[in-house]
Amino acid sequence: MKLFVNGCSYSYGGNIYPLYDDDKLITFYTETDVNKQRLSNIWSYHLGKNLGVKEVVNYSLCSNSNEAILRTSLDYLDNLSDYNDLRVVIQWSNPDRFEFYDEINRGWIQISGSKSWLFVPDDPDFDFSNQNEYFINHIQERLDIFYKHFYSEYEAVIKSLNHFELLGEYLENRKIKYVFCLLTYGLFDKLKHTTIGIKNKIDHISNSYRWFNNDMSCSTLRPVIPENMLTISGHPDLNGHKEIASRLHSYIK
Amino acid sequence: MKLYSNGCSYTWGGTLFNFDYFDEGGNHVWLPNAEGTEIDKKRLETVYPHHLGKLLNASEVINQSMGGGSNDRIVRTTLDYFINAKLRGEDLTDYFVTIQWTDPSRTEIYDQNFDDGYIGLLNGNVFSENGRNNSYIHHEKLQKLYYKHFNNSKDDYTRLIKNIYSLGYFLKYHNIPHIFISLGQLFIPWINAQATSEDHWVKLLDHYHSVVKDFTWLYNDANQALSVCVNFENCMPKGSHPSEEGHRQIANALYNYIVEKKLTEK
Repeated sequence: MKLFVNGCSYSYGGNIYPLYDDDKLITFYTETDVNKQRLSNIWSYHLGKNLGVKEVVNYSLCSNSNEAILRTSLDYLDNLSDYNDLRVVIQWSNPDRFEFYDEINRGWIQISGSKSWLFVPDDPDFDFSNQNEYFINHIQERLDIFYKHFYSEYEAVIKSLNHFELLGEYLENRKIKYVFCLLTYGLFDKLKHTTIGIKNKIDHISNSYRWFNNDMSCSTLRPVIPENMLTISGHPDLNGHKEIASRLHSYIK
Repeated sequence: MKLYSNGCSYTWGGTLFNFDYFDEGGNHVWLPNAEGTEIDKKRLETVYPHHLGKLLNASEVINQSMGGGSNDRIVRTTLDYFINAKLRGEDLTDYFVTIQWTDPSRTEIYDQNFDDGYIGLLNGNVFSENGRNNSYIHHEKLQKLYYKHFNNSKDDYTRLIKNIYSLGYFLKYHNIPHIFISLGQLFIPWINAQATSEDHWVKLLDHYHSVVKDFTWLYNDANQALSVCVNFENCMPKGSHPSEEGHRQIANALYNYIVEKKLTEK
C-alpha cells in the first residue's frame, strides 16, 4: 500500500524544519539528511506507519495554496497507472492563498499574504543564493497589483471550492480511497451566509466528498492538537504531528 | 431529454448578434442581460444548440454560452447550473451536455468594487455581464494589468486541464452524457511551443491525449477544431463565427456523431 499526502506547512513540518538546505528549496525529492529527518518525523510518516504502508509520498510545501495542492496532486496521480493500493490524504490550505506562474524565473509563486510568498522553481537545483533585489522586487510588484486589483474574498472561496470539487470528482471517479481535511474553516463560514449560491456549493461539497470527521466544517486539523503540542506559530510540534496521525488513523480505520 | 450547452461566442451567436442593441422604442438593450426579450429569443433559435435540440428531440434546450466567455466561466456556470438542478431534485441523467471549450488565455475575475459580478478578460478586450455605469474604464485597466503581469502559456494550459477535469469528472460522476468540442486545436499551440524535437512533439501529443482520454470528444480528438464541421468559405462570413447555415451544419455534424456513437443511450 502507498500513501500520498499533500498540504501546506501543517503537513510539511513548518516551524520545525527549514525551507532551504544549501540554498535549495527542500521538497519531497530533496536528498539531504535534513529532509530525511523531516520526512521521518511529520504526521504523514506516522500515519503511514499506523496504516502499514510501504511508501509515503508527501508533496506538501510551506505557503502552498489550494491551487498548488490541486495542481501538484494531479501531476502525481496522473502519472500512476494503478490506484488499487493507494490512499490519499489532502490537507487543504487557506482559501485566501493563490499561486501564479513566473515565466521569467520559471517557477510558481505561492502567495500567502500581501507580503508573504514562496517561489517554487521548476528546476529543483535552482540556487536561492542568487535571489537579488530585482528578483524580489519583480515578485513583490506583482503581489501588490494582485492584492490591489484582483483579490476578493468571494472569489477566493469560490476558487477553493472549485478545487475541492475537482479533486473530489477525480478521486471518486478513479475509485481512489481518500480523505480531505481543512486547515481552517473561517472564510468559508463567513461567506456561507452571503449568497445562496455559495451556501449551496458548500453544502454540495460537504455532502459529496469524504471529509475528516464526515463534515467539512469539522474537518480542520488545528482543533485536534492540544495547545501544548503547538509551536509558537500555531503549527504542530513533533508530538502534534503524532497526534494528527493518530486522529487521522482512527478516522480512516 | 434536456440539452444543456455552454461555450463562447461560437455557441452564443457571435457576429450574427451584437451585445448592444436599441429596441423599437429606442431603449438600449444589453443582450447578455436581456433574457426573455424578442432579440434574445431570436438569437437562441439561430445557434446550433437549438437545431441540435430539435434533432435530438430534446424537451428543453438550455444555452448558457457567452460571447467572449472563458473556460473558467464555462466551468463555473455549468457547475452552478447542475449543482442547483441536483439540489432541486432533478434527474441529472436526463440531460445531454455539449461543451465547446474556448481559447485558454481567456479568464474571468470577480469585480467586488464596481459590478459585484464576474468580468471576462480576453486578450485585447474585456466584458461584463452585469456592467454598470463607468465600470468599463476600471475593467479595461484590470484587463491590461492581467495580461501584462499574470498571463502566460504555462498558467493558461494548467488552468485548461483543471477546467476540463473539473467539468469532465463532475459529468462522469453524475452519469451525465456529454460531448466536448474544441474551438481550435486545443493543445497543439502549447505542444508546438514546448516541443524540442519531432519525437518530443509526438510524446507531448500522446501525453495530452491521455490526460483528457476519460471524456467524450467530438471525433475522439481534443485537438480537432469545431470549424471542421462547417463549410468554411460559405458559412464563416467574416472568418470568425458561423453563419446561420454554419450553425445548422454544426448541429448536423454533432447529431451524426452523437447518434453514431450512441451517446444519448443510457
